Amino acid sequence: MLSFIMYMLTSTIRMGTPIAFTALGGVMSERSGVVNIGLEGIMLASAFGAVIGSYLSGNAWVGILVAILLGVFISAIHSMIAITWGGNQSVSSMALISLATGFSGVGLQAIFKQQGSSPRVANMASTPILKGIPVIGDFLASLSPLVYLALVALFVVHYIFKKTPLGLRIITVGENPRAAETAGISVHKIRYLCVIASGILGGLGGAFLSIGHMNLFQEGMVAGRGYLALGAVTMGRWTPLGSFASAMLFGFFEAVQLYVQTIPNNPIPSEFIQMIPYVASLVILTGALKKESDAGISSSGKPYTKYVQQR
Amino acid sequence: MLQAKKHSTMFINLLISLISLFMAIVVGAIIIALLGSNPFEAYGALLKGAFGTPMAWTITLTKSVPMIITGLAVALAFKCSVFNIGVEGQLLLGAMAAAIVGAHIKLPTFLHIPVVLIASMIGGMLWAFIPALLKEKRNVHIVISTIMFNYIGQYLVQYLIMGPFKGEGAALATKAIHDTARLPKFLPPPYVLNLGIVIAIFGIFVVYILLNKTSIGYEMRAVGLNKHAARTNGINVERNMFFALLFSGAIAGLAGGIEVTGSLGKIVNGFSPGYGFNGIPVALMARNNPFMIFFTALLIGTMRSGSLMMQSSVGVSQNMVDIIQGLIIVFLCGEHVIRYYLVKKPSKGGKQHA
Repeated sequence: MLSFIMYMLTSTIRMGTPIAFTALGGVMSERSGVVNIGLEGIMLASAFGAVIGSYLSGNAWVGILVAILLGVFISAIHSMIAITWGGNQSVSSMALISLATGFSGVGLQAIFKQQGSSPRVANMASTPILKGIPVIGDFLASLSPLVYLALVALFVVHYIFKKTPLGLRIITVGENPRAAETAGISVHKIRYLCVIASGILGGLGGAFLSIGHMNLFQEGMVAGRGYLALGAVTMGRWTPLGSFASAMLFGFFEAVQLYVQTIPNNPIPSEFIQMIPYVASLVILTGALKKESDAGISSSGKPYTKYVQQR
Repeated sequence: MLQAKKHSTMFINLLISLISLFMAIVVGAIIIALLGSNPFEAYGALLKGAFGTPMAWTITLTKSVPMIITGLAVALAFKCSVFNIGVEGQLLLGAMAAAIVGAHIKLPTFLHIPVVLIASMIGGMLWAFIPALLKEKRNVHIVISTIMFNYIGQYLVQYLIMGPFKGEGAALATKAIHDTARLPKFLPPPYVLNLGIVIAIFGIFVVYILLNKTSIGYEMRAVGLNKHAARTNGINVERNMFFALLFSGAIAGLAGGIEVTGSLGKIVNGFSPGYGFNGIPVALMARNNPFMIFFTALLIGTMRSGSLMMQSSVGVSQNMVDIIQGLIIVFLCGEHVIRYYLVKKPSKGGKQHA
């Protein structure tokens, strides 16, 4: 029984962390009024970037760095479209995903001369430095250092929104950009900052997928986790704590999915078990939202410009 | 006067699409060059792969058919400001419905083909129905719910192929549909072109008439142009969005049905290389104009069809097409900027790009 609980706990954390990182990024971006459905693309690009960095240098931390850089690059494209160009933010996300799919496919061919997946690279699946702690040391050491980084990220994002003027500014920009501009806050600067931050956090989420709990990149490995992260943001009512918890809940559903597949002779076809996280996210979203009260962030998805009055 | 203005707007729209395409091709060429290949050779191989032989011509045209139809599905929903990312899932379910009805019901040809195609439309519509209902009743974001339904549909179809409807033999595929359900081919066997392209062109006219000549199409476009104004004028915005998604799903399902009855004859696991997602750039580049969709689908179809040759003969991964497709969308998202430089006529109150 104890080993079962440990198994579920570990795999919930493993499956939940990448979603949690990305969801924190989603909170940053959505709070400033920029819809970021392209999180999936950010994760995909940075999962691949992490493998390249790790492969070329032999050091997983370099992989993380490359992943963050790629996350920033992809989110910079999104912020340019969403903020400077005033383009459609949902459509832009399709561009991000298409670009990320393309770059990872072309990159696999160009760097590794193979298709489908990369060779194995150095990863960071455990934190041996924590082994010395009594009783829970073995458990703590079996988790990736990125898991602890995710907790740090949660703390930082929560702190920004609760305690700093910056957090207040982000919220104002998301709720009423014109009022923010009147108060002397640069809407564009705040939005750029937030979308880039979502790129950094999404980059860490992607890196966790490829070198945090595996040691290679596979095509299709992101498998909708970027969208699940987006669902977690909505479920968590656009707060860092809520989104983090929702992301871990999705992690739990994935852990259940993985566990049920290991049961010998289980009567449920594996395809139905694989549906669990997606169905669960829909069911929870359906339950979590009430029709009138939940419009979300009020200026979300609307481009802002100083020059022409918004409708 | 009004007519002349309309024409010049259309011309500028066309110009923006062409500029976006051109810029995407140029940036793509730079990336190919950075990878150490010759961009001219790569694009040459792509064109040769798509149009090098009469056989290649028919393959390219046939590959464009599902993209025309998914493009129509995306465009129809878009006109009503519904972004249907779920076209892929709706296509899969439509194909599944077609495969089941085609293989398990016996009918004469003149009845069987229409019945199968209608079944595929119902399949696609059903897969759009739940997200539409969730939006209507619980305000669940259509983009998120249709994406989730893509994944759920993908696993459901995979289950049906491997489980209840698995055909004979080792291949992971359903039973072949009856010959009476297969769309007739225009040319003798090695060539693949079938009646699907005629249905697709017919579909273009149907969508055009629905959008531009009927009152429901008028309401949908009104919602797409300005929700608040439409609501003020007594148009039921939610109901229009609901039906726009259902119609869109039905069209997406038809794309799957035509793939099954025209090209495949059964469903193989993973048969769609993302036709539903290709529908988005197709519709965007055509600015949701049904007639333009024919050409933009042909363009994307050409790139998809020729990319294999580019990979095998020049060594540039066929995923290069995804990059170009992404770049096209990026530049199209910047249409305000391109328009600003094209028109250079700031409207009242300052800059044009609002």
